[in-house]
Amino acid sequence: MSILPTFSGAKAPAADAAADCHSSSGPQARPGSPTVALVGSPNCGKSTLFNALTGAGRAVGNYPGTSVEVGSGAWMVAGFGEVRLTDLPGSYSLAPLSPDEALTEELLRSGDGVNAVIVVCDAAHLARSLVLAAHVRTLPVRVVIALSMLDVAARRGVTVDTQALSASLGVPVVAVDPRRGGTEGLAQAVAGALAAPPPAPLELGQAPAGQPVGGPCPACEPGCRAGCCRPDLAELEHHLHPDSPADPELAQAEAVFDWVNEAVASSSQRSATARRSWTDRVDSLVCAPVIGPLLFLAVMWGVFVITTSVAAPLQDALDRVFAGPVSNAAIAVLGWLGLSGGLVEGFVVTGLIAGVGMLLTFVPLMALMFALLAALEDSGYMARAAVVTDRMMGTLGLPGRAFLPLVVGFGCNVPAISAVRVLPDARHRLLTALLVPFTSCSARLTVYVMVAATFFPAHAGTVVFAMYLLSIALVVVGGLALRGTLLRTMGSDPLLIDLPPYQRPHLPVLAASTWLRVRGFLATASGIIVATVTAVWVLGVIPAPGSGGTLGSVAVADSLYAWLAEQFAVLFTPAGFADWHAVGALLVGFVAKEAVISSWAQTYAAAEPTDLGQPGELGSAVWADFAASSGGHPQAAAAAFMVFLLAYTPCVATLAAQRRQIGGRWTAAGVAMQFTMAWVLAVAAFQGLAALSGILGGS
Amino acid sequence: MVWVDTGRPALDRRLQELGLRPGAPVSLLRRTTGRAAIVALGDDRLALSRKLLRAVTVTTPAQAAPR
Repeated sequence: MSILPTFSGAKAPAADAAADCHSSSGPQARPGSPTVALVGSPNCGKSTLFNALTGAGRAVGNYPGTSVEVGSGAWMVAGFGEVRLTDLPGSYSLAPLSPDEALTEELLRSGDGVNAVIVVCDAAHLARSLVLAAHVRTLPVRVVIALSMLDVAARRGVTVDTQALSASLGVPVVAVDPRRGGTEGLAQAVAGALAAPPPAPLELGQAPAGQPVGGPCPACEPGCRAGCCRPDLAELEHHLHPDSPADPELAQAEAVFDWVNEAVASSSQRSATARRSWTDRVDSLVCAPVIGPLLFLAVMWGVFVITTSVAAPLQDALDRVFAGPVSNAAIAVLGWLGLSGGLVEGFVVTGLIAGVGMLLTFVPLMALMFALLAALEDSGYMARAAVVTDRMMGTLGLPGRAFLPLVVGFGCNVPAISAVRVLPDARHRLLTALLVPFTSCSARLTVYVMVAATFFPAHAGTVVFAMYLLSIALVVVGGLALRGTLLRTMGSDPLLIDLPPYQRPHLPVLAASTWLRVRGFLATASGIIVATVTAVWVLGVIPAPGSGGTLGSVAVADSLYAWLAEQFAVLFTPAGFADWHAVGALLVGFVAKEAVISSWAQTYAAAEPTDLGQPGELGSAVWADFAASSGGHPQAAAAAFMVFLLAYTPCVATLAAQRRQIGGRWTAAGVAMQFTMAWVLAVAAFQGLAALSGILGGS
Repeated sequence: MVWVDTGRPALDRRLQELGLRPGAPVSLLRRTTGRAAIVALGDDRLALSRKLLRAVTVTTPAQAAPR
């Protein structure tokens, strides 16, 4: 998997390198520039450092062939030149537990094309950070240690001597504070490291048992915890577990821990035992058995309200701008060019502009979602949310954090799929991204309301509520089914979460990460959304085979769109709605559920109902066709139609978001799963309800 | 003395990397939902499931009882 470019430029050019991701927008380093990998444990400030070093010239996206996200950007190193900086997934060590950590391990161990590694170490968690640093130092690579969070450590009464640490590690150690700038020292150290050959790797765990490791023990004093002065852990292990054989891996791990303890003891001092009293007091509420989950629900409700009702007016405004001024301006320009009223105008206004408009209406929604996620993550709350929901989500084999994307999905699936990035494990992201489409988004609600008001006027509310219950059931059943089949190898890891202290989210960092992700979404989604909207328009203007119409002047009923819907309709005979109007509405629904009612009305040349509870002439027309296609069970067919609408692919924007998160192949597998489930459930609903009404009607 | 044995060496290793190592000043801070708990390791806080808590053995020498 070594497709990182080499320093000499003799191997693969940079164009296909690490972050040639789905969203390779933004400037990238020149081909041939050396690659510097950025690694660090979660919450160590690695991504903030990455943002500070690369500025605007960066992109995030999935590593080719994986659903693991890496960042990449150009970094101008003073006194050296441009380097390509690759932000690898956060890892506690090179003994990986998740696919994300495994990618970091694989890329570092293979060493191909990585010219230097910056290990970000958190001074406030020095011992923990040095485990990774020690592992990286056992590899034959150039290493520079960036020591972050010195201010946090100082507040806890911990001071770190970078000189002493540098002596222990045998590589440069530079203090960094990416939130306030000041990364010149790091640039200097990296330039120096790149100019020199890689240092000799540390040899840990190769020393004979009982001997000091990682160099001679400094002058021993009472209380020294260095390897040579500690009780032999192999002995302890043997004492506790007399049957277990000596394990060389365990011995190596012990050697690393001993080395870390020694390095911490020789380079850091602690003046007082500061307690995290403030964070602990907040946690006594936030993580409490009953109040914790209630607070979590309140936070989720807030996220839901912001991504639905706050985003909605912004989306409507954008929509109006595109349907009004932008379309009118285009029509005026085309008229001036002598192209008014024809196919070109239709293509530009109804195809391209409508497509771009639809894409852009997602921007406020996505920006809010990304900003909220960053704020929840940055403040430290996300880790607590994961704790209080762990048990509930555990039944689906998902960690507690997966609750957030699933809740957001009931507003809109598109930001919900982007929200799966809160999950640190690629397998969990995959499973959640496949389940989100089953959460019933607000666009689907408009169709339920119209259909329920038409076919079940006395019980419309109950019917709509039942759709939401079915949606939850689909998530649960889908989750269990996927775990039992496609994702069988996915183990369920027990809850193990580091709880960082609470902090105020840093606005510039938040804004930068939001912009980066919105830009990435636009880069991935623009093509697929604009192309599909345009394709639907094209289908509507091409006459069906044998209809006799001419290009651009056909009635909807004679268009290729109606013909195509007619061909698919036969599939829905067992579901009771084998009617081209209904199937055509589903075809449009594949593009966007928001457009189902309007295009349905268009196929009947009926007015689009202004109040969905009073479907008027559209309702009567739909009722008549459903009665005909279902053999006298229009209500059963309507129920089947709603079930199908709930379970099949939500919209092309969801697919675009999925492709970005989990790749094209899994997205396609998801579509196949959605259609299969939707069809089976719709047929079951129609057959069951028709049989039931037969029994009830016959008795 | 802290000893972890979850039955999965990789998981044991991770707990040790996070600081649950022999000699660590560990104490149980509070119970949380789902019978999990927050454990204090010096200044650090870890949330551990019930299953993991059961895998952690803490022996307390009389002269150095944890807080």
